[in-house]
Amino acid sequence: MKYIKMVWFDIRRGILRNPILFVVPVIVAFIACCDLNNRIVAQNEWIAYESNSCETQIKGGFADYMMYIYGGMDKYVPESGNYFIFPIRWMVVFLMISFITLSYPYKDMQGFGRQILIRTRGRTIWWLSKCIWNIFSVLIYHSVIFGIAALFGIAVGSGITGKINKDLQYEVFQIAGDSLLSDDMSWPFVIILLPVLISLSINLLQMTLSLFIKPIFSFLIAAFLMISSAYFTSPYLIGNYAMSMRYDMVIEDGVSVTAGLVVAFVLMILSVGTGMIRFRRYDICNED
Amino acid sequence: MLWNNIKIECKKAVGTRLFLFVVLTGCIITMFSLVPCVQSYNRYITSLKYLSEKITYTRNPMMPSQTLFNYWIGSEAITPGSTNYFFLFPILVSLPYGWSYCMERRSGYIQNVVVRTGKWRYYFSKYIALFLSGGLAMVIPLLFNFLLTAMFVPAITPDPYFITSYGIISSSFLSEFFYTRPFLYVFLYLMVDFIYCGLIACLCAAFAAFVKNHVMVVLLPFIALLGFHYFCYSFVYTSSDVVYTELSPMNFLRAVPAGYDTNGFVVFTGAVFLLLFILISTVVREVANEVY
Repeated sequence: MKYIKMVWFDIRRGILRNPILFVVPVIVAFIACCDLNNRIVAQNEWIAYESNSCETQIKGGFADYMMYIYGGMDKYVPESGNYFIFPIRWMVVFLMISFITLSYPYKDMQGFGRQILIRTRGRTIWWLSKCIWNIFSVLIYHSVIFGIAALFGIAVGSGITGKINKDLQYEVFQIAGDSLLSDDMSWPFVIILLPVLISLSINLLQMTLSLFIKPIFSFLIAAFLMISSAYFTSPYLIGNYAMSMRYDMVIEDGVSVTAGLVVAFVLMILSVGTGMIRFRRYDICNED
Repeated sequence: MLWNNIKIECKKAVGTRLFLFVVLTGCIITMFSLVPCVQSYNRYITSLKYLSEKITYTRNPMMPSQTLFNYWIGSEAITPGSTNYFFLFPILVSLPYGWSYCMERRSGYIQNVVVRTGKWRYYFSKYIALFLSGGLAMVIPLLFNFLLTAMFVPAITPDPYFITSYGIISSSFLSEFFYTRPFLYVFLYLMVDFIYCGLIACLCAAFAAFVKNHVMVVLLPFIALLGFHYFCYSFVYTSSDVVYTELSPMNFLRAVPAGYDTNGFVVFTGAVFLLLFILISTVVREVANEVY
């Protein structure tokens, strides 16, 4: 009962009274969907001009918008003249939720949460409640993005389908020819769900790191991890599993989806466990 | 009195372990640009030596294509060091002192200072210290990288004949200096970076007028720049056939155009806009509110 009350308290204060959690994903997703829509319109105009017919017009659907938002970028090969341009859309999606969920646990620990801790005498319950809050926040954030993409899919007349247009995605992400897969297999919708799991694990990791270092530094580490993942296509950098365009079923020499799922769950469990152990001895009276 | 205030604030801004930590972190990140660049240059020298043994020639006609001015961190956008540094710099420049106004307001320190020195002296010296700490936090690692790279790569004046080796064309910002006075070009770019990053650090105090949480205040300049960059790439740079002007400071603060070329008007207007935002938020908000 105590635990449920604490979780409800965190949800009320950390989610329902935090309008930024709802507004920011709307703006981010809306801009991304408008951007893809403009590209599709430009592509269709070019096709109509080249082929003089309207038969092969591209239509973006819900899954295309989601792939565009969570796709990331093609693998980067450093060579002279090929400057690295970081995937801004993907960065904004993942760093904004890290920013939004950054300060609530720390602020709560210094403020009202300290009163709750003293009265409930349950550090583990407090920490688990914060983990639940974090998971809900991330899921709500990504659900709003899913919702906006679904509305766009309905608005353009494609409906809500899980079919991803491979040619469109290869075109908008400018995938190099030698990275293209020549098979005819369609991409399953699950490749858009893995980035959400990775986002969950990164946010839990950030929250755990805040117990060891200041929250600003934990955000800096998360940002460093994301930009390094964008630069290096490596299975050891977790950010790669958050880029749908870098999976082995999308491009040659991509990262494994199965490995991504394992990494996400292991990281989540490790973050929660480590945080629990650390918080048992944490000095909550240490004001900044 | 004002000079004393400025001295105290500057000492608090740059005389701390946090500032030292930020500068050291910046220097370490720039090493991830230095090492690959020096390795690349050494490979080039090795291939030249090999060729000189096979084909007898006394002078390398391609010498100006490999120079200090296209190997230091500001002039390349290929290495992980350059990528990380020019992405994370808004956080690094805000870290040393961006939190101070928020924390001093919360602790009550601001009230003690203002009754003794006056409001405007306090704010003026605060902004001077923020500007200096932000500018230095950006420029010191760049200068460190430039000087270290100069120990390995010769400072040959760039030749417009090898324009594709540098990435700086005639329409690039300050390109006329790059091909005639390259050291002046580097100095001017470092000045632009200093001024911009000083203003970005001052944004922390401007945002503190609206946000009470010091963690948010330090990160808001980064989020604002990231958001502006996102807006530019989504709504401004929409066609691959058009040559746009770079508007985002996350790109044009490099000495080489990583996306599009910028120009003096954009750089100047951006700085003026930042300055106006800082002034207006400080003057309007703080004149209306009491510090007590």
